[in-house]
Amino acid sequence: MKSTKSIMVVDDDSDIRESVRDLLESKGYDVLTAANGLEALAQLQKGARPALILLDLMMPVMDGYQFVAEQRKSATFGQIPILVVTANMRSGQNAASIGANGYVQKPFKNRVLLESVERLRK
Amino acid sequence: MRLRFPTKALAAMFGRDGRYAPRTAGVAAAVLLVLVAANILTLTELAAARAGFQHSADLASALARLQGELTDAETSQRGFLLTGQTPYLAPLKKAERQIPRTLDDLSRLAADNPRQQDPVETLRRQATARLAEMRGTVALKTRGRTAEALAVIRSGAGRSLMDSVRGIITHVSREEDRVLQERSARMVEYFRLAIWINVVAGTGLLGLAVLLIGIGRDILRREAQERALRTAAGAQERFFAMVGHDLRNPLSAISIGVQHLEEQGPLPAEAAVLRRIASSGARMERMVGQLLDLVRVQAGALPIDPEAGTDLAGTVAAAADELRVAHPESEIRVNSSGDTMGTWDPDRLAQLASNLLGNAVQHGPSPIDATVAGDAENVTLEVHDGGVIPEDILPTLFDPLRRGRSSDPAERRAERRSTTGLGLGLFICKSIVEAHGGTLHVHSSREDGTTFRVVLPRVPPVQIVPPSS
Repeated sequence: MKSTKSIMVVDDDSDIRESVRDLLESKGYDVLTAANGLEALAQLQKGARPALILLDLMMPVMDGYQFVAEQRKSATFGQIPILVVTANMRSGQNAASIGANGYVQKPFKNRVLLESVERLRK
Repeated sequence: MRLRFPTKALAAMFGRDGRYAPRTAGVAAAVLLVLVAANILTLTELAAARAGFQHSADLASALARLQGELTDAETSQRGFLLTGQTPYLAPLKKAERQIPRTLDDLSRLAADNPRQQDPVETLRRQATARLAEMRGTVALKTRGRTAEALAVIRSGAGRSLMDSVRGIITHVSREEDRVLQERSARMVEYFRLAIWINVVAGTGLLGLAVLLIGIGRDILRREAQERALRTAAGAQERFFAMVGHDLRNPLSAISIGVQHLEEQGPLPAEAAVLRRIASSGARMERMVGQLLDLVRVQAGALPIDPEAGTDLAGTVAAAADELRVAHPESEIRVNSSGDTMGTWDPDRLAQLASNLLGNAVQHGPSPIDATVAGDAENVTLEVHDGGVIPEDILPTLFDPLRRGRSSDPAERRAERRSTTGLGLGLFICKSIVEAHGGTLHVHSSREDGTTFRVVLPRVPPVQIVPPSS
């Protein structure tokens, strides 16, 4: 299941989710989407192994902070890198505080997002 | 019932920030010391008085003993002279042994009082003389010269000696009573003084203790209030973060889509539409940010998150770089001198630099000069352009929701068309500077052009979030 071209997009805003999916798919990535941390966790538990998770922090049901706390506990998918994508002004601090591998602040330049994705996926 | 503590008195005693607390504690300690000293003094005096009473009692007892011994001796003498039987002489012999010891006791006991010494010496002489007279008559009788012995008695010398001895004993007793009364009176005075000092100092200390309890309660109450304020401020900040997040998300979706379409190679007519959508989206994004900041400032103070080692010169240079890309026609020169590092919020500082330089680029003719200089305590940023702000605009320049630097309505309308914000830029600049404990001033004249001057203390004072209205 693991592919370095597979990216998971976790965001409660469907417009963002689909826009990012379109953008990434246009660059040849396989994209999985989840509307909140719980959905993302469920997909990972069922065996999904993306090369990178793009994570919004503020989401209903299970937010980004709770998701990372749960994900990092897992022996099988805890090592998947996280790129925080958030509209919060203090996204840098927030990303650092949960131990994410990088962050991009919304609204972003598509080029910046694609560069970060390319750098972090493994 | 709820006790209310006099906050003014408390402030006078402890200082509003507690700076007099050591002084007040010192005063309390001094009061306590005086109290302890007064009590030690009283106890010492009481012990001395007790010894004085014992002394007087011993003296009185010695006087009574002397009188008793002399009377016994006299009785013994008379019995022997009347009967001639030697068993009558036993009390006299006993008195002869005891009286010198009693007289020695009296001399010792009178040694502390010069007024007693002379009478006691007279007493010794006369008591000794009386004993000698008795011994003499007994000797005459023993040798059978009874008539001579009786003649001595009849002469009355012995009786007058005895009267004199009684008189002296009465005198010495009275003198000792007088001393005893003096000692009692002094002791009563000491008692009164001690009670007075104890009551006053005790009341003072009790009052201090009550005040301290009050202060303790006050501190706890204030801490609880501050906790509540922090919680409220935290809740408010979380709310703003959520609103900002929700408002920016659709703009992000627009931005991603527009950029994506631009990359696909749109037709020229489509490209123009896409550019307009993109620029509108970007403007909207800036306005959302500014509105959120306005609400934050109006709710209290702009929250800042200072980080040590933030470089103002570097921040200004980065903002200048960004503006050069967006406005290649503008000449922006950045100069710095001295230590320009401080403990500031890097994001807010970037916003400040970007707003001030952007304002200069937008309104003033090139070149724009940004000068950053550090001295011992502060770091100063000056942004200068060649434009002029009319005098009537200056007083309200930093007010929120005002636009343009021109006083001419037609010019202002033109400015408004070209302005991309809500007229909050300078207001937010001032809020950022003030949140860091600094100042922002503007100077503008036809000769000098316009200079915005920011002075930031290297370390902002502790931020106090005022209660939200």
